[in-house]
Amino acid sequence: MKKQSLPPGTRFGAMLWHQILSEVLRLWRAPGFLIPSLAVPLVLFFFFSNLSKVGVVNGVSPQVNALASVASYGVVSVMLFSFGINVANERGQRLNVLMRATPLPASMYGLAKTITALLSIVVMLLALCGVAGIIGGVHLSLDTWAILIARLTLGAVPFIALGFCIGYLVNPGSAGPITNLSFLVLSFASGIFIPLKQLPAIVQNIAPYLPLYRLAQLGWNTVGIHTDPVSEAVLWLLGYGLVFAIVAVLTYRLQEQRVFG
Amino acid sequence: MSDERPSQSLAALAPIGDSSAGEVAIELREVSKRFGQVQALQQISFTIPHGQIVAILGPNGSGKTTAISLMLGLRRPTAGQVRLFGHNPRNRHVRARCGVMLQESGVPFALTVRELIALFRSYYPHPLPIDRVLAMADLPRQASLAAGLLSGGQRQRLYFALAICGDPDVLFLDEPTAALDIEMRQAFWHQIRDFVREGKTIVLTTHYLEEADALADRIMILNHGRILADDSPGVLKAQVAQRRVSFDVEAALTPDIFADLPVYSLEIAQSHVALLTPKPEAVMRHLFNQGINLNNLEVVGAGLEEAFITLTQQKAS
Repeated sequence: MKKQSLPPGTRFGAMLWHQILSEVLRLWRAPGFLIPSLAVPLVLFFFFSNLSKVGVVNGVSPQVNALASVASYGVVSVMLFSFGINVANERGQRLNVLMRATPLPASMYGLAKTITALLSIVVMLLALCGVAGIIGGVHLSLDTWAILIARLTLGAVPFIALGFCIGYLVNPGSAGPITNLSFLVLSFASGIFIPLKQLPAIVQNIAPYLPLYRLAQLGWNTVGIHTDPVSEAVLWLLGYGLVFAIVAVLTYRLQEQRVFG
Repeated sequence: MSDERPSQSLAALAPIGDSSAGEVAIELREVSKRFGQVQALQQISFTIPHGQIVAILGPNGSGKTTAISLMLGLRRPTAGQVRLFGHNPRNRHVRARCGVMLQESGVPFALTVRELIALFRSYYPHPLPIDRVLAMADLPRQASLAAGLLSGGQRQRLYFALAICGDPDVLFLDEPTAALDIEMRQAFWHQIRDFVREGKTIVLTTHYLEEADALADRIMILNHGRILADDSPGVLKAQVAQRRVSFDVEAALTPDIFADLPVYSLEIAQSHVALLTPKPEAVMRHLFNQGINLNNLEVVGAGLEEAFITLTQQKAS
């Protein structure tokens, strides 16, 4: 009898696959992904790699410095704009409510978004590194390219929770502008746009406490810009990941109470 | 208690069997829902047998959407119990048997109609063929259009397509035609009737009495979180067989002339008087006995609209 046929466990795979496919299609067609997450890092890369008159920035070529900085910037940008703001917008559209009324488990919906965000980061990094390597004047060994992409992709994981926090905490109407502004300030203070040594002492003192600085460290250290040890960056990122995750769980519960309670 | 159900279908009382016919699709037992200070539903109880089309009717804030949300398991009752096919509505296997159109819910606008239907089909164990869904929702020509480019009426049809694509046994429609004009509304009713032929249970909320009358086997009237009436449209209309009476008088009347009479919705605008009553003869006799002269007397049969007004006023007073 049809009414008793239960969706078997194997269907979860098919459900997830379909959900990821739809997320990828949606992202690929949305200017909100292509522009901030793909175009902006490329533009910033060319801007910063040609900005410096001196031949060496942070001990490496301006191109290499720009690549490592902008790649970290791009990772967080994808998490904030393609992921966090998207979650907030769908909440604003009450799409999360419609989804909840379907048999698709809520965890599957979140998982598909997370996997899609990580995929987007890999695509962004490949595009950026490809352009930087082919026409951007960045010359690195194959190992270094691979380590750079792998480290930054792994480094993105703590920011998944940050994306969820933004998705659940920020008012859908103002999510864009608020996130943009905070991200701009965060990027400056983390030494992404201007090398930290050229910034005021107060910023240099704050930077080590910022998550984007710690992510950027992973990239910088890979290409030969020596800051604090990588292990220190990893610990900081784990700590941040934990804090973001706690906040994400709390806001998620609040949201459950308010919308589905 | 105001939730008397004199003509409740016998099917609701039949034991749960293997066949869907006679099965209880939805049951609410003493369900209350409170949002902070607001009591949205107060001890609602009803049973909907499989295959019935029920319209929940009521003004804004009467608790219609809350009732639907509870039946869908989107909200938890403060007290009481909600059962779909005998299970918690949050159960995924129960959700696999439900389709839903919510008020004001979005879809990813970058996806096309066909892609969205394909996505929603993937959530259900036995979905309908995609071309059949497109045809039922009258969307074959919009299949490759992005959802964001659809007109209001087309978007509503898309939501309908998403609601039926899983071939649900129960379809929940929360004010499905609120944003549609009259032609689109009638076209939509047509689509729902087609779907109903397959023996589905449908619960819809609406502001429009006409809609409830056109579609439903059973109408539940909700006001201030209580069920004021629960019956077939015919019985409801007969139960409050109202006449709309209007006339002109020479000298202005005061409302207390009608004090002891079964009169509702009394309107006195200088010399013109309009009212609803189940007993126009008694009202007329009373006025003649008072020596009041009437001109331009009109007595017409009232519809569901008037029944609704009477019911909400009766129970409120």
